Amino acid sequence: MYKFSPLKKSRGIPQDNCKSIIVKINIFVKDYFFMIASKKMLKTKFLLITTLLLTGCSSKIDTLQQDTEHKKNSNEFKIIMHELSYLIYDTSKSELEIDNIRRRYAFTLADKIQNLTLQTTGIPEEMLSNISFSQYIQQLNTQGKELQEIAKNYELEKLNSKIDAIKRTCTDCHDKVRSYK
Amino acid sequence: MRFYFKNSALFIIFSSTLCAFNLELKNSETIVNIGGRVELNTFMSSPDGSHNAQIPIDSIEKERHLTMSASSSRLWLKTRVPSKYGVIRSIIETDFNGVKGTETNTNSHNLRLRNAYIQVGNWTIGQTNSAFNAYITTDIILTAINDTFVRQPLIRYGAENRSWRYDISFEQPETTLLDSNAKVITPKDDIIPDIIARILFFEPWGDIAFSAMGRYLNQNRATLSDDTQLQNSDSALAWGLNFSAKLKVFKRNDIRIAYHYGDGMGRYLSYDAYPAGYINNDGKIETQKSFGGHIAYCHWWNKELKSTVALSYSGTKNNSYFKDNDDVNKELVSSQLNLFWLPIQNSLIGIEYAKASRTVESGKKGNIEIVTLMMRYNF
Repeated sequence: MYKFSPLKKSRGIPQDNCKSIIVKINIFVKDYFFMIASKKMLKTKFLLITTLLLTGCSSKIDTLQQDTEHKKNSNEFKIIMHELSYLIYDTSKSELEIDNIRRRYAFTLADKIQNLTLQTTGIPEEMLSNISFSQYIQQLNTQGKELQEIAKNYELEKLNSKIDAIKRTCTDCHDKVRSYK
Repeated sequence: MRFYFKNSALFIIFSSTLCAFNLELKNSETIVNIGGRVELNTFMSSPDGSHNAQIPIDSIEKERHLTMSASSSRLWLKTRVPSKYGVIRSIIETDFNGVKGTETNTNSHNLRLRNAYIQVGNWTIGQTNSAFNAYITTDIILTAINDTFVRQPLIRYGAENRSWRYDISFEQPETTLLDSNAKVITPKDDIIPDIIARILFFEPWGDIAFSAMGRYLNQNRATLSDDTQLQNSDSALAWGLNFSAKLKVFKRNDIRIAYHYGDGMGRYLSYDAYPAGYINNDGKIETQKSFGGHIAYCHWWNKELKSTVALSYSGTKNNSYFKDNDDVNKELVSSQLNLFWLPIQNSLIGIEYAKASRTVESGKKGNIEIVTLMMRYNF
């Protein structure tokens, strides 16, 4: 006899996803149907319903995860840019030491940009094609590579203008997303 | 030849036919950056003194004193040129904290060398900050009372990637010893460089720095403060450890901590507040333990305003010979609270309140309160 367990990990859904209320409800519903089905021995119907639910749920979960990951990376991106702006606080380090710190931040930013551009797979296809998101992704990707080159070659006098350009790309893309929604 | 101005996306290409002046560089690919800092500091201290080992003892009745100074303004010149060993970078950095000018008329503070070094491949050669210094510093105007800060000539080998860095550094030695007259002497008999190893970790949750130092203290027929010349020689091994960390908490805020401990650490702690050891009248060297630390919390009120509250401490264990001495430092304690404002890019305005005390071996104590207003612009 199946034991009712709304948050049982063995259902195939990672425990991390249970943070979201929607995810919790989904698991609860699945478990509920499983329990009913077991009782009435309607395995075929149960499997059909569960499969349909799982497909719908996992799609929703992926989008939510994508959104959360994008937000997380964006926030980290903002924090790094903020930290870059207050390197002026340091009074003891030499300018070359501060350049080394700026260079390390630039590498980290370039990595974050790469992560951000990779995380677009969850965005619906029609959204990507309708408002040319792919162009923004491509532009951001190129800017990330340029940032990496700047850091690699110690061309830190170009850093601020490159970051400004990246900010503009992000802002334009976010504006389009808002208008699309 | 390209001539860059710091923090600007623009650069001006000069050619000898168009220029009214010549900038002679040894390599046509050399890129020169000129930058600097204009800074005005206003100190109101009560009593008159400074936030270090010079805090006046038993000076409660002395008056306040207001001082203004732009001597912390800086000028630096950096170069960069590609080579078969990687990018060669160099810097000459100065400020105006050299010979102090008179406040009566012109405040003509003299230029002082801060940094002069090159970095090529994994090597750093020249004068710059010691690898023993606390890498993670606190955002305060007056340096922490336990500051481990030395700037000296060195040869350093280092390697790094995005999440860590290590260095091994051979740095200028300088033995500082307290003689029986309670005066610090520098025998100038050093024969081995101070050797420092450092490792840094940069993680998303914060940074960690750890350094270890070994040094060789030596005197060879040194002259004591009363002009007595010793007729023997002696030496001692000394060491020090320095740990500092920044831990990110609550969005952009962070906690910064540092701890240092060593036997014969001497001048590396609290701006030479404590000697590396004691030299008796027979020329025998005894190293002495010193220690210190700080904790600070940095809080961003918004994107432009930031505060730091910091507590710092340093102390030493002097030879019992100085038990009742009024001139030998025993410990320093300080607390600081500030507010910084970033009004425009590359500028900083800060106001800070600091309260510190110094205790000497006899038990006498001196307190100081300083309010500092700092205005800085980097160009």
